[in-house]
Amino acid sequence: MSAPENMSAENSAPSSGKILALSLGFSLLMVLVFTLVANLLPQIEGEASVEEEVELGALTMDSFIALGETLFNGKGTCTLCHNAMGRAPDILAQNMVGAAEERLADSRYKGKATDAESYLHESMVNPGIYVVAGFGKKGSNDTVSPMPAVHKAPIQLSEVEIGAIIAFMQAKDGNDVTVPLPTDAPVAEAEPEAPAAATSAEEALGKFGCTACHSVLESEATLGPSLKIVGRKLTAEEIRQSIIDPNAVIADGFSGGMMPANFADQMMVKELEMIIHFLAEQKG
Amino acid sequence: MKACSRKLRWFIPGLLLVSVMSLGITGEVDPFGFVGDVYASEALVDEALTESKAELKAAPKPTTEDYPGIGISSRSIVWVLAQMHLFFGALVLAVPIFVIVIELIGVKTGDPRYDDMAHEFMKISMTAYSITALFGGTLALALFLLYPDFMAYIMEVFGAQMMVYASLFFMESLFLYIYYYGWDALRYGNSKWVHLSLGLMLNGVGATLMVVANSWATFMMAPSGVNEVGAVVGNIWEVMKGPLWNPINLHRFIANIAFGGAVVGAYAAFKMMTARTQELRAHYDWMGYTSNFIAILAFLPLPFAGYWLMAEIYAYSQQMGITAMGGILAWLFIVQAVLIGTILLAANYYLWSGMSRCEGSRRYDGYIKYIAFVLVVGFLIWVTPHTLILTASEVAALGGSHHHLLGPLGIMPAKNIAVNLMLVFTFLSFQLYGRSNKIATVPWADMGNALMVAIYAVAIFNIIFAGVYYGYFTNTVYKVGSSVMQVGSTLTVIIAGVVIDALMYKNAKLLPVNWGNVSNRSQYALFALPVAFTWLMALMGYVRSSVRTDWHIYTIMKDTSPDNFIPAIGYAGNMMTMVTVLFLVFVLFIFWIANLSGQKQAPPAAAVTAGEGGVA
Amino acid sequence: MTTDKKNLKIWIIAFAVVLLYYYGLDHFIMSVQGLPLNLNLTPAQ
Repeated sequence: MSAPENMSAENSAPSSGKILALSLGFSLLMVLVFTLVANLLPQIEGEASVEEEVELGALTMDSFIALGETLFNGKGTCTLCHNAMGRAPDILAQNMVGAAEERLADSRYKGKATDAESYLHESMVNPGIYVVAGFGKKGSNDTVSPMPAVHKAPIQLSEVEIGAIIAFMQAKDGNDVTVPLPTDAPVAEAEPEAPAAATSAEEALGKFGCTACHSVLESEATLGPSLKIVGRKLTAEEIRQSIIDPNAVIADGFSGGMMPANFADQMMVKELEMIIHFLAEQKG
Repeated sequence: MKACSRKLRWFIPGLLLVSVMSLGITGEVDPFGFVGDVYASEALVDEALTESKAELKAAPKPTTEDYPGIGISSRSIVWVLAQMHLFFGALVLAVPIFVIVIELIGVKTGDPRYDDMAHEFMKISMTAYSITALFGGTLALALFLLYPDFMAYIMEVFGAQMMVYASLFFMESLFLYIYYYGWDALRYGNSKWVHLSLGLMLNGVGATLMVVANSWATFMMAPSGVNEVGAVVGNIWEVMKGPLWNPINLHRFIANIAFGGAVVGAYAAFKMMTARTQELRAHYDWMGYTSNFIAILAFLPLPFAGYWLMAEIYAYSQQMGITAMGGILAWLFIVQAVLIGTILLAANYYLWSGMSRCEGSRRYDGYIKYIAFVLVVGFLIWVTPHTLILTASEVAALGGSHHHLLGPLGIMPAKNIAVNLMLVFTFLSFQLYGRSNKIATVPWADMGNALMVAIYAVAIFNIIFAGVYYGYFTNTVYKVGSSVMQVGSTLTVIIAGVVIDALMYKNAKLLPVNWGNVSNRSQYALFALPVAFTWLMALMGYVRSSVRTDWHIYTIMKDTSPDNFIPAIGYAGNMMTMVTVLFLVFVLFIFWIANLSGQKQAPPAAAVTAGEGGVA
Repeated sequence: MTTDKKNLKIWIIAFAVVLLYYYGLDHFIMSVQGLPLNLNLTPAQ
């Protein structure tokens, strides 16, 4: 209906039923468009942080460093700010051992740390002790850090996890890792006897920390490819290769070098076979 | 005299009641005793606890098994109930705010149309009020049933404040009923002022109710008054006054008005299109116009209140801020852009259509196409995501709830330019419409006009300059800082526009306005507005709630329920659609009831014949 | 002719005042946020 006709509204007004149907239909159409937009966007679910018990028994220095990297990108939420966007120092791009030594020598430094390891630890649990110039809270003149203490809520990293991140920070630029492996972890050569073999595939998956990165069993982790339907995609032989030589084939959308490459050294044949058999059965 | 004394009987107890209640609210004098006692005893308990270093009770740590399940996702149930409660709560709190303003305008101008319209607005609010209470009660029950540990903790933290809330609810009902049903009894002379005071009390209690309830939500986001493990260490005031409380209070207050205006606008549109007489059509056209005016005027400053809220969230926890603006939730801002774009386009379209009411608007016809062009281009820039199509590896790389790829979305300078320009041009539509039936008579009209044009021109230039220069050629902090510059420019236009027009068109020569002389098609804009508002409210409320990620109470109480993850956008979108459609259904029911109350059944023909004598 | 001149003056004054206002506003808003600007509006930090 256009404007001029409305001058004679009397008796020409459509019935309220018709208007009701039209306006309702119009409203529902709009709602439908909004719903469509929401459904066209990438569908990603956030994950709740899962309390992962670190399997100290299976830990080697390599997996310890890998754990640090995982935590750095995941539970630690470090990359939210420590990235190339300038919110916080881009510590992935810097050699943090060198940076730590420079900062310890800075006259502004008032903390208790004596070396890179203790400095990195201190900077995580008490970030306000030394604020890198230009990164303090607005208006605080670099005296207050915007970074939360990582051992407290909401991040709540354990001492072992903090240690792993320090190890990762040291190792990523080829520095010596000074953090000791957590107690009762095997030190590669000094391990006299192998730990008891897992008795089931489920136990083995837990023992070697598979669930930390892959969604399998109860785990919904997304750092690595999901294993819930791996049996449909890969043959037993391909699964074997993926465990023994993880970087040979990288699943679409994931980057190589994440998965420890030393499972061949760690797993017993029995455990490896159990895992392969179990995974080959995972068909969704 | 007789009428007067009959009225007096009404007033004296009413007045007494008002004064007593008002004292109760301000808390300076506390005739009922409970408000002060509650706080006093709370403070005493706290003091005793702190002094004796008695064991403070930490927040509970329920395991997944501790959450009772009833077969349907608990989160979805609470989601729907809470959202419905909030929709209706917003409507019920908002309507009296502008009703009292319209009533006051009616008193000042002596034009009875204002009074009638205000009364009719209240009629819609009445049914909504009971629905609000129903959903509120059901929500509370659902929370106690499905999240018992959480509710036990919240009860412990807020304690007797909950009872204060309940008593405020009683007062709200009291004022609402007296205000509405006393409307015609207290219509003229001094009685009108009593009625206006009642309206003021109603709004006072309503606002208090809202800020009390807001404190629960903000406590969950940014707890205060408790220690690291959640033991209460402060008094109730310290618990309530968290860092996000006031930003949320302001944001909700303004948004409620916009929302309420939009909903009653739809009512007016419906009534106008079904009106049988030109007189009714004119009345509802004017009502719809006023509603739209309220909605848009409240809507324009809303992004800035939102900006403040977001800034406070960043200040409280940078992590939380980035989760909202740079994580998976960032995608929701694309949907937000679609919704706000819809709102702005609909509002502008309605204003342009409305120009047909007035001959004087011909002067401005030429500008419309430019405004439309800027709006559409702005809209398109705004909805274009940084990476429109994600490759498989990008989706996978997103992995967790946060990713650096999406970070720039939150502070995209191009989008800031688009949004600010859209707001400026919407205001231009608004201003042109406002001027369309007036001719300025003040001697400095030329100067005022030149000033206004200069303000628009320089503001637009400044918005583009700030976005382009600081956004792309300086560092991040300046980029973020420059968005405030843009906001300042936009606000300047709005404030200067309102002030200049108010002064310049004082005693202006008025041209006739033919209310009702507008196309039916334009009325659909008045439906688009509340639908988009409702969906938008559901969306932004979801974002606000989701930034807590897997915490019931951020940093204090973990959410270990089966629903403790952020769902995919599609799922969330479907939930929003569900609550919006549900809301629409309830609103239609309210309109129907409001219509029903005005209808009278004709006496049955048989009875009439019988009355006239002659039993068959 | 005189009205034209007068009009021109009005427009120039209006633009000058508004430009000055926005220049001040930009400096004010940025410095309140701890991000001072140089006189030519480039970042001072």
